[in-house]
Amino acid sequence: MADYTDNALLASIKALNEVVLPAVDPSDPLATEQLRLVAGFLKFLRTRLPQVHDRNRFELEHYLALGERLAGDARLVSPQVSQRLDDAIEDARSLLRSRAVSVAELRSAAAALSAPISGLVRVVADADPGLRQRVAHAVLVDSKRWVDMQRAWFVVQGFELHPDELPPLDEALRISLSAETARG
Amino acid sequence: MTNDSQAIDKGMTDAPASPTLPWTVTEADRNAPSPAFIELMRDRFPTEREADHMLTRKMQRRAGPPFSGASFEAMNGYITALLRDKVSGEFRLSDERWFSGGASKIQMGFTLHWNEPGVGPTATQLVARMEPAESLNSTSRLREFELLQAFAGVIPVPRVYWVDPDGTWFPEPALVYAFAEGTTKPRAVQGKVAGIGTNYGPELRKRLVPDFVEYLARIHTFDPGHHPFAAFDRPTIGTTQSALWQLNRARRIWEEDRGEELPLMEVAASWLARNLPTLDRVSVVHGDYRSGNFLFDERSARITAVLDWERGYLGDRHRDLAWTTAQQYGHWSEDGKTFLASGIAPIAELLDRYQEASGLSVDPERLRYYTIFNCYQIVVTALASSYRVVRLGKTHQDVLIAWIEAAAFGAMEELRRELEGER
Repeated sequence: MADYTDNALLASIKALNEVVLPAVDPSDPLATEQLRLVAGFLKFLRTRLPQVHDRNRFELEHYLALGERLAGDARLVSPQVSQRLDDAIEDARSLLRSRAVSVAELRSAAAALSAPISGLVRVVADADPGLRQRVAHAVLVDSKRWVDMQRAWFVVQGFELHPDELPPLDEALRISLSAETARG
Repeated sequence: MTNDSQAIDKGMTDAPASPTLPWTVTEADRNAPSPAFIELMRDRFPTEREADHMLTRKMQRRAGPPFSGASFEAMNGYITALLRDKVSGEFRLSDERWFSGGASKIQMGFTLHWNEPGVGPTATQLVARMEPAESLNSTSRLREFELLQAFAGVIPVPRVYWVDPDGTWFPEPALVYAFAEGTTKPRAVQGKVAGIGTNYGPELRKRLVPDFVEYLARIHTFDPGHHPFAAFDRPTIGTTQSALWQLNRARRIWEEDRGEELPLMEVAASWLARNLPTLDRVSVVHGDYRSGNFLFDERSARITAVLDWERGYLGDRHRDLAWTTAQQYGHWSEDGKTFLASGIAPIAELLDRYQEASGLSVDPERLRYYTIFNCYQIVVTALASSYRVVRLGKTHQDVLIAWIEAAAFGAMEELRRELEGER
């Protein structure tokens, strides 16, 4: 099936580089720099657009897995955080079992999970060291896949100092984190 | 946990129906902050007075319009208004041009034809450096002005002429200083965004090392008691005050600017608050001493000007040392085996030379603390502040700032890895 959106992006990049850029006043470094960046963003977008949904699903699965791991600790320290987290876990599970889920729904559900998880980290800052360390460890260990995925997503922008240690984006996005999701 | 960190976490526990619970901060709070929200941030994250002033100003103006573009005509009007109050006699401006390279301020070069006191009729090449509607870094032009004044004759810095700290003549705070000769990168090298990761090449980098180290040593050994530094607070030696001020400033910006919750950042903030280092000596901290922030003469390999003092403060030299040697600002050598801090020299060599030049010690523990803190700061700037200013269209180069967001994740992985080893 023809992809007319990708075609339009391709044409836009060509127009910027071959028609607009030569017409820009070379003595205006801001205009030149920003034009190159716009063309670069469109090129980046071409490579990433097909995976936007997968990326948002990955993020929700990441926060769901982390939330499930921390739910027991949340019950120990804060009924308010715990209730919020349990509700968000339930909503996320339900959403991930649905056949058609929009990007907006995935993003909203991920945000609903990350808020009480962050809240839990704040609450346990004053709790006993064992509990604090357990929560911190869970966040740090589980965040690796999430950070790696973000680094793989943006690697083409050239800031990455260790690109060789990253999985390919397809692989980074395939990593399933939630046993519950897998069951769904 | 220290008393200080308990204080800054006050209000973040699950007190019933508390309006300060983290998830009650909404996009509306951040995009159009109420006076109560602004005061809450000030109360929760006390920091230096000038930093507080600039951050408060940022939030008070946040709901204002996006940046609508700068023109030579408008900039000339602001500069002319300033000069009418500052300069006697006739003057005119010419040769206006924009500068790129930085990620936060509007910079216009121009020539001022005037009767300079003590010189006579002359043409002076100047740069006007002005905030956009909201900058990536809400820093103080007054501080930048004072630092450039203080270091004139100590190390090469652009001569500074006038400051508009609160936007009396310009629509935003601004600074006018002399154009400095030199380049931020070798002619044969493609420019990098904000000069991050510039590769000077094997020969040039060796020749740049002496000046690069010597000037950092001179900054850190400069006696701040010899200059008024009216816009600076001086932290107390033997306390954690200096580190806490910086942490609170960064945490406040994270709360005010971010577009999402990141549990990893909460873990980092908690660790940083529990491990505040004690200050052993008050130094001037440049705040952004790295490749891209100095000019040099390619033929002589001498540094001609140290730039971008906007993040400067009085505090712990280890903050600068960790920044200069950060992963984010260097690159690997040609053989792929050695990491070159700021593209200049291996970290160990740089620190050895620094200790020799300054006579100051380098404490590995404090260096590590500030390495972790700097990673936290980079994420705050590259992810939180970038997101907010771009979302609200606040600058003259939103697209460049959006590009920088990608730089956050390398710093985040370094942060994560350091803390995972710590636990």
